[in-house]
Amino acid sequence: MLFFWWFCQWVFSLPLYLLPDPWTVLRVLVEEWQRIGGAMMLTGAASVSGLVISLLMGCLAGLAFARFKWLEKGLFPYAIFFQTVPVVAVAPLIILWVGHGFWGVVAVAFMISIFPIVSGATLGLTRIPAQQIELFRLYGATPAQTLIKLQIPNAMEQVLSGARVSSGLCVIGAIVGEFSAGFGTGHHGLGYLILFSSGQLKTPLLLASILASTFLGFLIFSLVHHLGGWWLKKQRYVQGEELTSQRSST
Amino acid sequence: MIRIFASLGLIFLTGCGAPTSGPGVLSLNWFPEAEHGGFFQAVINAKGEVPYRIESGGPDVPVLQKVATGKSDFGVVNADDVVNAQSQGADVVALMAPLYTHPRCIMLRKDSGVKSIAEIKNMTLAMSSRPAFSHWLQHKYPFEGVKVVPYPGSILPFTQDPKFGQQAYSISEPFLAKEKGVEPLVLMVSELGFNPYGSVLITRRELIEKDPERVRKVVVASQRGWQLYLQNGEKAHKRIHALNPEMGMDILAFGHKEMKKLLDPRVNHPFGTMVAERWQTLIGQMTECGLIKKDKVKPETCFTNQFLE
Repeated sequence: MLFFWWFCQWVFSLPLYLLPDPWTVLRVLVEEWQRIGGAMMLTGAASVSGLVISLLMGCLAGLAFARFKWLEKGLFPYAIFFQTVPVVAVAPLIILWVGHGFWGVVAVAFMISIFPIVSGATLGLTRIPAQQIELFRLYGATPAQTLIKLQIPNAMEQVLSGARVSSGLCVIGAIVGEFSAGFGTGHHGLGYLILFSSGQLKTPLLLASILASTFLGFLIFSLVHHLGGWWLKKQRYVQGEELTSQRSST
Repeated sequence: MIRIFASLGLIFLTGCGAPTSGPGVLSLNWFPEAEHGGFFQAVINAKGEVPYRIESGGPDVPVLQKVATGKSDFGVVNADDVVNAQSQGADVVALMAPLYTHPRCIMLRKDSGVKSIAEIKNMTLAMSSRPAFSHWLQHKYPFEGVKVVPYPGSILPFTQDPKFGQQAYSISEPFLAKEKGVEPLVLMVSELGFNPYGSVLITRRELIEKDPERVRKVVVASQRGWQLYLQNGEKAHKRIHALNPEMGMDILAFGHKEMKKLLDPRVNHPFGTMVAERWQTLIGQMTECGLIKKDKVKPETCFTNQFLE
């Protein structure tokens, strides 16, 4: 891929402001590492905050939708709104309501990343094999017991699957949010670097910032993927232990 | 980010494209507004062949790249854009500067109690990171407790919050603010010492060397267009309004009136003449605030007055 990039640049003799060669971009990445690294940290903090709030709110919404069917029918279309609305167009409005600065950026990251989690949580909490529901009913389990012992464990995989999708989206949301909100004087995230470098014709810095954004998305995805996988494995192990101890006691 | 990739793709394809025949394209740096009036007048005025086909701009239109790569033959930008282009190896040259004083201003609310830029503290100031003036201002003034945020593209937050200031053009936004019932305080950035030429007509050096006669015709037509527009802007305003309905006839008339304050006060100079010292000052200011490297750009490579009559 790097070779193809370099080959195109070399064959078409494209000037630096149009398409810099990969080595120039890597050199800028190294030279401007402090600036890009700082921007990554800030955008990363806003992205992760948006994702965590999405996880909390998304799971709560999923629980409410699973418990009250009428609520799901009434509100789920509005959750779809978060997925379909052009976030670039809505971001300035959100900033107007939430305000500029870090939390404005978090709000846009939250908005773009909540739907996959709501959808996963609702699906996981409601799509349960009929035999298992029947079994819980036969044993006289209360709704709370059914929720904790059956529905929530069943939903975890779906929620994590949603979180994996959202982990990439939250970075896009944070960058779009930064286009409108910014972090304030002296605090610049990747969105600022992208706007600044494109406006100032500093294409190598622009490409370096885009690479850093992609890497940030990949980093958050990996974190969610591995943490989620580890947690699921642990839960299965705990459940397995419980099952084994219950069997041995009977 | 998708827009940035799309722009890069477009620019890439642009670079590979063949030059078009007929009148060249004049790419505007924004949606048609009063600061482009003279160029529209030049087209209206043309007897026979028009000097150029005007292409509207917008927030992400890469005018410099289009002109440098030959997709457009001419463009309208600000002088600091030319310096940026030169510093990045894009050989674009300024041919004429209709606005001697740049219309850029900081617009505050009168009820904010602030009287000058130096007094701005503990408030929100919306400025884009793209143009050089925002970097120069932040380099020059302490802006204690000021939250500098991206330019929202409208005056809506300005109308909501007395502690909100924003970048503006003196020929446009103050009119809108008054219309919304907010009394604006206009602080011209030019009066603070940062004054790049505005609405500058540019081309690439290669075209000047290859077809100087064509460039001369375009420059002269633009000069005439501007001179006529400044006498009577009605026809050009109708054309601008048709292309950009957001610009009503009343705001265009306001811009036309305000623009007369921004013209070259010197007499006995061809319209749109530029001075090397002004370019030198601009290059110095952009170097000072870290936008370009020292001695990277020479004033004489940025402009030429050779086609002005």
